[in-house]
Amino acid sequence: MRALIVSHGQLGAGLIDAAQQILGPQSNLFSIDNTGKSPEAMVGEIKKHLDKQTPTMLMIDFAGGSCHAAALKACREVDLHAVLGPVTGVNLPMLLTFLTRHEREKPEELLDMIVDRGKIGIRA
Amino acid sequence: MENTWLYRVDDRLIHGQVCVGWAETLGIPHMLLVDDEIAESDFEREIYACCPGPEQSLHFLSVNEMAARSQQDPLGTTLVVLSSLEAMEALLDAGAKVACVTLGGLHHCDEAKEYRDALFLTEAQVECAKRLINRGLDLVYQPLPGQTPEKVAAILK
Repeated sequence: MRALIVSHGQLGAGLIDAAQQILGPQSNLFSIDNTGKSPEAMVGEIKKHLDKQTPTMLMIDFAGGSCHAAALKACREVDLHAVLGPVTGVNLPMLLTFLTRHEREKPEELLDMIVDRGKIGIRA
Repeated sequence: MENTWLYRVDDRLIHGQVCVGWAETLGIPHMLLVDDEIAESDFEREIYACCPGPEQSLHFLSVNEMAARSQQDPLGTTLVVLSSLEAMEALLDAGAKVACVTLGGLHHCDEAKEYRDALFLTEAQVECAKRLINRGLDLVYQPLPGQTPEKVAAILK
């Protein structure tokens, strides 16, 4: 399974960089940033990453933004077996959970686990 | 800011920069998305409804509905968002009373020339902008409230 992070600016690339500092190089992480891109261009780029041969966990920076809108529209135009999510509010614990669990958990349980770990990671 | 319509053109419509950068920052509680297709689409409305915060409202109107509403002041200051200059022209053609429009984001597309970071216009869009300006519309480019607004007429010179 792959993970695709769709975000404003370099957030996605930054999260991937941070995850690789912790877990070492990963070949299944990708990011798209929305800088300067039209909504149609974003949908097209996301769709290119979604391929039913290799399911993709779609992770978005926050709910309701242009990245989320583009992801929802892209998902509508592809085979749903290709996609898990999208899940919004992506943070580092969520990405690390994906990397350490995606080969062990069933897809639906993986999604729930990622959401839980994302929330648990927020402490003050 | 009292009971006024604030018109904005942004091809991303309702998104973080609009909900947070404009509405949240300026304390504007109400937003309207004006688009004939989106007003009729459950799927599209559901997408855009994800963005506003808990203290913000978002409603969807067709062009004709907005033209009618614009004849009176709103109950509270309201951000009215359309996706394109052409959509704004259609709103004026439908009889809307609009004095000023802030241009937020028109992003890169084929055959569009870059005028500013978030202002890409095709020749047809340039002509549309000029028609709006010639109709007396004060068209300004301003991505965020903290940035200095620029008259589009000056940008296009």
